[in-house]
Amino acid sequence: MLLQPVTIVGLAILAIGWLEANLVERRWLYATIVVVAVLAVAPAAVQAITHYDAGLLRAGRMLNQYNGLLGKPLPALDIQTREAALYYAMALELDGQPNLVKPMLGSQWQWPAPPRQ
Amino acid sequence: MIPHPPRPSLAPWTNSLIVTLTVLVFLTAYARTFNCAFRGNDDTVWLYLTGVELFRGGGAPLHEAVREYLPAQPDGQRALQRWDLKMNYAGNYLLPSVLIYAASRAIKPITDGFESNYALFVTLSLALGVILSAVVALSVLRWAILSCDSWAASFGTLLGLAVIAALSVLPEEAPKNLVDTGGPLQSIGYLLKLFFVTGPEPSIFGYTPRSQFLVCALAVFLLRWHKHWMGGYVLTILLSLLHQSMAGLLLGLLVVLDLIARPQLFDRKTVAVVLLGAIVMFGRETLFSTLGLWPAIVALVIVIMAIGAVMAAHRYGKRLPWWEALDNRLLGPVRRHADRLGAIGADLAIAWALWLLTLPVALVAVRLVDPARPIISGARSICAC
Repeated sequence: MLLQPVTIVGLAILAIGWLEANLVERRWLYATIVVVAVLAVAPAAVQAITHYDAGLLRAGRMLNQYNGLLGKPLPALDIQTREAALYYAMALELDGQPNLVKPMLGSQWQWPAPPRQ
Repeated sequence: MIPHPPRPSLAPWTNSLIVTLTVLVFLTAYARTFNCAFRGNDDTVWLYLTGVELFRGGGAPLHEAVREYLPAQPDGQRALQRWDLKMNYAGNYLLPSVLIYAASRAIKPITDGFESNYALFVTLSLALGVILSAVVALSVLRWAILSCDSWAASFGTLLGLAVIAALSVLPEEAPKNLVDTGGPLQSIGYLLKLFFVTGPEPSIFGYTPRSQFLVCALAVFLLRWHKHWMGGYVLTILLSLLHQSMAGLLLGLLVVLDLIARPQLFDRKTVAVVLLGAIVMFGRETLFSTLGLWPAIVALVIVIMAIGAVMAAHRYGKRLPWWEALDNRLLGPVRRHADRLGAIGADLAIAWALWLLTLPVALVAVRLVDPARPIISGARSICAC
């Protein structure tokens, strides 16, 4: 993870430094770099535009699913979904809506729960 | 031989233009990764929870209730270990947690005005918070490029980020454990493939605190490559606000790089700054206890401090024959090669050599340790670095 950006940028700086030292006309070098950079980022730009709302929609849908699990015993879920639903309920409870988490943990909890101290 | 005529230089404003173009390249790739990868999974919701807990508190009884509930569930022990790991990690991303909470408070009046549900509120808070966090990281990178005051640094960062942006659109494999990749050679092949196609989340353009840490780590190396050694160390220590664990790993890496290649850097001021940073990081670190890593960390610190003490004694005239022999035969040639390679070449060569030397340890560890234990995450992180 750390080595990828550091290595690629480091090698690019080394290459540009070497070309700067060995080419008479540097403006062509700089212009070429700008053109290469624009071309290289073009596919990412296209995908950024065509999927402009995908991230927000996906996250919103997933969080909406957790809304449906609030305040009642949790069904059988995989570990990560159960964790996400519990984190979501805890955040909502700490944000001011009481008695959401403990009812999700099963019948051993009093319902309604006694007021917190 | 006829000398070359004086070469025309570019106007000063061109440098700012190139840095602005670099920022645009970053933002484009960031937008693409955000749209492809942003989701409301456990890690993302947990990041929101860390912000709420930081300012509101009162989560302890709820955590205790969940900890009592989890062992009775299928995969209960594993679930409990994951829960404990996350709870001990809650202070790891101080700045992103603060920014996400601040974003949520800024958005609250607007979403309340539209009678929106909590899911929409959390989604928008997270989105704004991680974007703010990325903007902070990008500002650090921009400042570092301008501090370098070098055409090669400006154009090199532009070109490097553009190349990584081009690599980011290549089709990726489903993420695997190193254990699942097959034998050790297949694991190394998988890691090398991962170098080119990281996938959205570990990418420098990702939306997680780790990705923003990588942007700032690049700024640290840019400062170092332009002889701002102290600036690099101070920035690394400040990065513990962004990603505590990764900042600790980076500080360790920088100290080892400089001990090998340029020990003359460690004057009293640098040693004091590094020691202060290390103490603050160790003081705040809560993950070592959860992972059971304290014995290994203490051993590592003792080794590094012993090497530092020997080097200090050597510098102040105390002659240690065995150290001189080691210095002349092993470190001397490495330093001569490092001098020839320059700051960039030396840092890259030594960092890759260290990665290759420590890789077998991580490959053995992931095969020996029970995959359900959280320590496996630590070994994976070291591998992935």
